[in-house]
Amino acid sequence: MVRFAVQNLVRSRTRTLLTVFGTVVATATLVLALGLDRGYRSAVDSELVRKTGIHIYVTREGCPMEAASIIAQGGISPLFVPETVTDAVRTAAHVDAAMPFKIFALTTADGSRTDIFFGITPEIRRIRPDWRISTGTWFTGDDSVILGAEIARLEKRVPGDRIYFDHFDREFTVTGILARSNSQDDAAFFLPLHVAQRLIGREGKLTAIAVKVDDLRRLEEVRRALRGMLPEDYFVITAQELSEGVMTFFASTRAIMGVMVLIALLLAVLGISNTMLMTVTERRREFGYLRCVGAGTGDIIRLIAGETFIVCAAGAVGGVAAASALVPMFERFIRSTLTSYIPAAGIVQLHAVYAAVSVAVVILVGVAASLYPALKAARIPPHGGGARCLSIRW
Amino acid sequence: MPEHTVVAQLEEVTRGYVRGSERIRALDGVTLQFPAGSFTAVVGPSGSGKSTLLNILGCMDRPSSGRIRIHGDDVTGASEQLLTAIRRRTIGFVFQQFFLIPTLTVLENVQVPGLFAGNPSRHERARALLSSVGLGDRLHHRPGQLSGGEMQRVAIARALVNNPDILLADEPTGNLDSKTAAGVFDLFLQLNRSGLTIVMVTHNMDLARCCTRVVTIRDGRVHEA
Repeated sequence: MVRFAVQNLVRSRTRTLLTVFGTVVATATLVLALGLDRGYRSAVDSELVRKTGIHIYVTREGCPMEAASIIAQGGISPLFVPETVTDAVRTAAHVDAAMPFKIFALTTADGSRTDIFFGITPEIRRIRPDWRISTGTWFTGDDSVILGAEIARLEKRVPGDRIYFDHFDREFTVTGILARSNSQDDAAFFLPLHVAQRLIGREGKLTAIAVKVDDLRRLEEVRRALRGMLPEDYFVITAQELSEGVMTFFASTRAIMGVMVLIALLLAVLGISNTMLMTVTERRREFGYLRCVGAGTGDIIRLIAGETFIVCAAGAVGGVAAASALVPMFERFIRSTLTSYIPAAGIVQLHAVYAAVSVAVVILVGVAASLYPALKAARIPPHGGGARCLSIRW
Repeated sequence: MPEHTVVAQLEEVTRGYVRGSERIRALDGVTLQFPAGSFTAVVGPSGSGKSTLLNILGCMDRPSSGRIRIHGDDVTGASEQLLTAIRRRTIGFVFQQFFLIPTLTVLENVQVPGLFAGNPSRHERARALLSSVGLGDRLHHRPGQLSGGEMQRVAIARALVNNPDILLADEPTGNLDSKTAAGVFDLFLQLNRSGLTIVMVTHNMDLARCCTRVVTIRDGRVHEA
């Protein structure tokens, strides 16, 4: 039966190939969409929750989620936390460390590049165990800069080299290079906090304060304490909430991907349905003959569904392969269009289970799309109806 | 004639159609028996009802009134499932246009009815049948590589793959030249001599006269010779 089905498909090679291609597109779209959803969630969770030792952020409305989005496009958040709040935060019970920081992004005049700057203090070493200098040292003065691993590679700089920023028309000395963390840090410049503030005219103003608690079981207690000591327009959010907040910004991208997947699946379904309807029309006499020699309704339905299964399975496997090959290009495209927080780690991660689910979905939807043509074929009377198909029986 | 020797039987069968404003009575009160081992030629002018008779006899169509019996069982109102089973196991079909599937080899074409019948020995049976019709060296050819006579012999082998009790042939020599037609008819005669019941619709009176019985249909009515 399988060979019979394959031979039937070979009869119209071009049409079969076009239908398979439609299925490849639908599957690849589904696999990439699922890969983006999984990859982005995982990368955000990793960068904002799992890899850092930061448990709570003290910020103003919208920050640092808003800040993250603003810097993704290049910019400086208009909202700020006064630096003086840091000391008050440090006095709260069970606060192990508190690090004030400033984030901003500046885009070159020609728009070709956006640089991300972090203003930090030595507390970063206590609060971020993943933040580690692999070569060189901490800042040695106000003209010091520490480079993320990727930026150092791109700029071809090592400790001791000078680096010029046309944003500030000023030269800095590279004192350290960070160990690669596959996070946003890899692509960032780190400056002493007060230098960073001064460079953009935000002296005494912070993006947020990162807090590490001494006992994670007391996280909620610390949050309530901080909430109680700060004015109404302050936000005290956990790293997990921050991650979830970023995901809400990503929701629109997910929705667009969802629509794209639905359109691709719909087109594939229409293609399969159309192909199978044409097949049934062209092979009407053949189906009639098959009914003559003992093919039952179920046999004809199985034959059509089998042909569709082969088309869909070939397309689905091809779609997974195409998606795997397209990951780098798709990732570049998404990074260039995302307006929400963009993690440094890969945001498109394919997974065997998701690929298997995509293959199953495409095959199921495809075979379901062939049911109408299959039923139509099964209703063809034995001997194809012949001249009788023009007549009404009485 | 004892009941059990009759393979198929039509009793007062009528079959009508409406085409536009016209009411056509393709069969009009036809009563016929087809005894086991008989070779019946059905002749008559075009549009007389020969093919309709064959379709009803082959359980491919249902009569407007009257009864059909296969091996004595009334199958007039039988379910589509039962009719399919009868077509699978009891009846073999040979058509004027051969209806070979162009993408399958000769051997695969012959196996097709066996595939639907779930016949486990269909491969060996197909080989044996093709050898018996003189096509043992053409097993892996495609229909497009065969002559008309060879294609019809493949169609006959295919009709026999499930070991039917009756073979229905609708103008099996209609597309063949006289020499090839004679060869194909000889094959029918051999099959009939071996005990197979055959009903053959034909326009060729020379061939019809060689059958054990000739049934003439005119305007849907039977005139038996």
